[in-house]
Amino acid sequence: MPKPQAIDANLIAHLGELARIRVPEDRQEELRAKLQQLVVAFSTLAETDFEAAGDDANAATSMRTMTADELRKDTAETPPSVDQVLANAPQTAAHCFVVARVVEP
Amino acid sequence: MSTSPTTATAIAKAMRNGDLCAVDIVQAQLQRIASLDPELGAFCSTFDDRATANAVRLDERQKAGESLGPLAGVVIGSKDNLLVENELASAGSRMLSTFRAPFTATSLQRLELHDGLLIGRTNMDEFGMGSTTETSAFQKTRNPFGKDLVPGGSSGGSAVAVAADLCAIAIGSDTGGSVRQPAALCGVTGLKPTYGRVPRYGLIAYASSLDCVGALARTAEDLALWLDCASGQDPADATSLPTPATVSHMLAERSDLKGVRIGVPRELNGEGVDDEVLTATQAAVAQIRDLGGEVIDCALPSAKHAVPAYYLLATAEAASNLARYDGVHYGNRTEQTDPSQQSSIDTTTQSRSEGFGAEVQLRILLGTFASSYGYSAQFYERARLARRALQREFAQLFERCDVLLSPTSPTAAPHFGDHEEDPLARYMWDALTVPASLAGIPALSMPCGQTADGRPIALQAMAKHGHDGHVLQLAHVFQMHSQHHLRRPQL
Repeated sequence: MPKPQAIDANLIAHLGELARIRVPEDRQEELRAKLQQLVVAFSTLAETDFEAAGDDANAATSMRTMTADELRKDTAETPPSVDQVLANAPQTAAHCFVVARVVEP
Repeated sequence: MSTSPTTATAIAKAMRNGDLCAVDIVQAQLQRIASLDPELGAFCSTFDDRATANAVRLDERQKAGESLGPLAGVVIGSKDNLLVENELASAGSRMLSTFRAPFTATSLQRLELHDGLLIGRTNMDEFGMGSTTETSAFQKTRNPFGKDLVPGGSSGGSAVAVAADLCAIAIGSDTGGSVRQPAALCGVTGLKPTYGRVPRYGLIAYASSLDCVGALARTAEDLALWLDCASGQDPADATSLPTPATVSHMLAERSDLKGVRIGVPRELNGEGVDDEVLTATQAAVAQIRDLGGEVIDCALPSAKHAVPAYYLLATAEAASNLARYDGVHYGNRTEQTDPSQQSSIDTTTQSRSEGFGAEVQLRILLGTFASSYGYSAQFYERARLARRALQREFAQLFERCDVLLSPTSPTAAPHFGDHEEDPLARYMWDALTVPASLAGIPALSMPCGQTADGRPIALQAMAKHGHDGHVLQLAHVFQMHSQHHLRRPQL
C-alpha cells in the first residue's frame, strides 16, 4: 500500500490550478499543513479491505433511478426570459453576459 | 410574548378555530426578532412584506369561512441556502452576497401552499461547510443558552431562531449533521428526513448525494406536520422520492414504546463522547426502555470510517458543485482584473479566491485532491466503498432493530474559538451524525438533558430508509413523557 503523499507546495499549486483558487503565499504553509493532516488521517481507508465483504462502490447508494413513466413529457416548456437569466450576472451588455477575453487579439 | 400557543401544531389549530389573527402573529414575531435578534444574529434578513401580505390574505380567507391549511399562521424561518423568489439567497457566502433568487424552492413553496408564513432567512456556515455557523461571511450567531457558546451549524441561525421563539419552525439543510447538531446544541428538535423525501430543487448545493432539506421545531409533532407538507415527488428533482404516506397520523397511534426494538450501537455510544453527554443519553435510553422499548446492544463497525468517507465524498462533490461560481453567470466577479485585458481563467480564479472563505477553499482543495488523477483510487473510490460497507451494516441492523439511538453530538455547545485551528478535531466532532447521512436514512435529534452548567444535551434516533415515521413516533412518545424539550433559554 503506498504511503500517504506528502502534500507539498507544488501539489497545492496544482490543486489550486485545477480548482481555480489562488492561495496567497502567506497562507500556503498553513493550508498545506491542514491538508497534510487530513490526508494522513483519511488514508486509513486505503488500508481497509472493503471488497472482502463483497462491497461494490458502483452499487447504487442513496440515489434511485427514475423510471421512464416518471419522466416529464418530451415537450418544450416556457424557458426563463433573457432578463431573468441575466438578472444576477455581475456584468452584462446588449442582453449578453460579459465574459473575459478567451482568444488572443 | 404571553400565553399564545408556541408550537406550530397549536398555532395552526387556533388559527383554524378563528382564535388567532395571522397579521397579529406576524407583527408580534417581527417585533420579537427586531428586539432580540441584533444580539443573537439568527436572521440575515426578514421578509416583512411577503409575510405580511400572506398573513393579510390568510385572515381574509379565515373571515370568509374558507378552510385553512395545516400550517395556517405558522411563522417559518428558512436557511440562507434555500431560494425565496426575489429575496437574497447567499448561502452564507460573500460569493452570493447580492444574489436574488429567481424562484422559490419546492420545499418552501409547499409550505406557503399549506398556509405557512415565511418570515426571513437564517444565518449559516458558508455553503453549509462548518459546525458552528462561524464560517458565515456575514455575521456571528450566538447560542441563546449562553452568548459565548456556539449555536452549532451549519443551520445555526435556524436553531437559534426556534430556540429563542423567533419562529415556530425553521427550515435547514443537513449534509452531514447540519440540522441535527445545531438542534442538539440549542435545545430544539431537528429532523433530517430520508434522502430524497423532501425535494432539493431550490437548495443551493453542497454535496448532492448527501444534501437533505430538514427542519427544526419545538416538538416532534411539529416536525411531523412539517414533513407531511414538504415531502413528495418533484418533477424538478430527479432524486426526489415518490410521495410517501403521511406520518402525522402515526403519532396518535402510540402513547408508549411497547415492542419497539431499540438498537444502541457501541461505536456511537462511548468512545469520544463527553461523560456528561453519555450519562444524559444513557438515562434517556433507560427511560425509553421503561416506556416499553426493547433495548438491544449492537455494533456498527464501519462507523470508524464514517468521518473520512464523509469528508472525502462531500468535498469531492463540493469541488464539482461549486465549480459553477465562475464570476460570469452570477455571484462575485473580481474588480481586480480587467476582462478586456486578462484571460477568462484569471478572472474566474481571482473571483473565486475573493468570493470563497478559507474553510470553503480548504474543502474545495481537499475534494479536488481526493478526486484527482493519481489520488482518486486511494481516496474517493475507497470512500465510496466505505459508504457501501456502512450502508450494508445499517441494513443488517435494521433487520433486528426499528430505531437506533446515540448522542447527537459528542459534546454540548463549546465556546467560540475552541479547536478553531485544527480541522481534524472539528471534523471528528461530526462522527455521530455523518453515518446516517452516508446511509441516506432518516435521523432526528431531540433534547434529553443538560450539562451541570445548563447547556442542552440531545439524543439522536435513526431509522430505516423511508421510515421517517419511526423516529418521529419515538420522539413524540419520549416528549409526551419528558420535559427536556420544554426548557427555554433566559432571554
